[in-house]
Amino acid sequence: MNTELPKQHYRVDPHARFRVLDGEGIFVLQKAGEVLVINQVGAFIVEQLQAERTLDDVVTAVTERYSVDRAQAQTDAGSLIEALLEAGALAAS
Amino acid sequence: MSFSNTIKRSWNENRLVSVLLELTYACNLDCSFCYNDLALEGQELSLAQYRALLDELASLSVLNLTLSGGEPLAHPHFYEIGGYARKLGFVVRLKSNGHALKESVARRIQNEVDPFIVEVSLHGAIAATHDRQTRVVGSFDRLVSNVRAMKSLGMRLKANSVLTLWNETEVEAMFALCDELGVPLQIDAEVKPRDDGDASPLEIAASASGLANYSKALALQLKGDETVASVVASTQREARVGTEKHCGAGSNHLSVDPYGNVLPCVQWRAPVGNLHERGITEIWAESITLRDVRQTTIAARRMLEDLGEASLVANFCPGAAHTHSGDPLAMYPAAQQRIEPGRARVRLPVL
Ligand SMILES: C[S@@+](CC[C@H](N)C(=O)[O-])C[C@H]1O[C@@H](n2cnc3c(N)ncnc32)[C@H](O)[C@@H]1O
Ligand code: SF4
Repeated sequence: MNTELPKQHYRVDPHARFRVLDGEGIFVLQKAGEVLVINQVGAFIVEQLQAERTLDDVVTAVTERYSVDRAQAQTDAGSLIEALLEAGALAAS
Repeated sequence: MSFSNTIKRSWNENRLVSVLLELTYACNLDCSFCYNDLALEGQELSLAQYRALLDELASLSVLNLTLSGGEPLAHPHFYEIGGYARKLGFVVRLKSNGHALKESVARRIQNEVDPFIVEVSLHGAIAATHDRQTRVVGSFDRLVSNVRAMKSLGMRLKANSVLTLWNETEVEAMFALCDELGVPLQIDAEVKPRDDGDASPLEIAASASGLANYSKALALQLKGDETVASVVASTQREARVGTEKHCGAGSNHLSVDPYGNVLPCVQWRAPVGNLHERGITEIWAESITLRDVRQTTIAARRMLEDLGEASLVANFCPGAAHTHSGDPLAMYPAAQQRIEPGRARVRLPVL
């Protein structure tokens, strides 16, 4: 995984829908007809991305909210985003 | 983490997940058995009110938004409402009779509304039957041609049908037609009274032999030792796990009629508030009638459990019960009929 944090923005893919229900993040992948559920931390990360924060800012927000160290937050956020990009839930913008 | 657990929790915690909007009762077809109450009066919601409603629903984190009617496309602001729903990130479902969905219209819907699914209504396997129910000559041919066009655009489609006295001998043929069109078909075996309680739609309710033929046709689609009754019973049994409610009416879903009346469910026509008077957030949090509805779904569950295992196949709906008699807990003929053979068919564990 790339550990460099690009000043990249991500958004919910135009073919996906996202809501936070009961703390969990729900993606509906319209093309595939699939639902993808992510945990509370994941939902927080996606909400931050929706607020047009860069990955760097998101990692900072995660460390503040969940008191995890920066390296861990960076690895977790990076892998989540990679997986969501691959699933067609997020798109780079 | 599973989506079905999230949905079940939404019943218990009164979290609004799905809303159905009946945008208008205007329609380009004229089904004789249609449940819409065309005599209902009121002030239609304006486009500004629909926008405000959708804003509130998005703030409440509502996921699913169904646009129905009447014929939703007959609403003068259909595209504005649908487009705004898309912008706010709802999963939009469109329930249409399909009559207006020619290729250019479907393309526009795809571009501007981007629905997750379009559900169309099929009333028979041949033009004579379908057109007899819609009372519009040519509606069958148009539907079939529109479905083919939408399929070629790559849209996700589903066909819904209601079993009636007029189409009950065409069940296998309807499944075959939908197979050929590449569209899943769901048949509702129950004709409902009109929303004002008028029972005249039931004049074309399926006969006993029609219902038996329908069960046989469904059974052909099942595997092994499953029967329709056993599948319905196990779905119901599963639905009862982790909640004390019979259904999510008023707990995780609501409907809104064209005049702003907020209903617990499209079938449960007892308003719990009106959007001309209060916003949806306030109704959701404070309506005493809505609280009563939620209690009633708990009472319905207890009532059915008292009837024993056979009630699992009743497919009882408190909304339908309310429309039949005004009492959401009173058994009504169609549910009762399903229970009777159910008593004989659902096998109980001996020890
Ligand atoms: C009222 S329509 C509205 C959407 C659209 N106009 C259509 O026909 O699909 C929704 C669904 O209800 C079904 N329906 C209408 N009247 C009914 C009744 N009395 N009992 C059961 N289903 C009914 C229709 O066939 C349709 O599938
Ligand atoms: S097409 Fe739908 S709304 Fe129109 S009359 Fe038929 S069932 Fe009713």
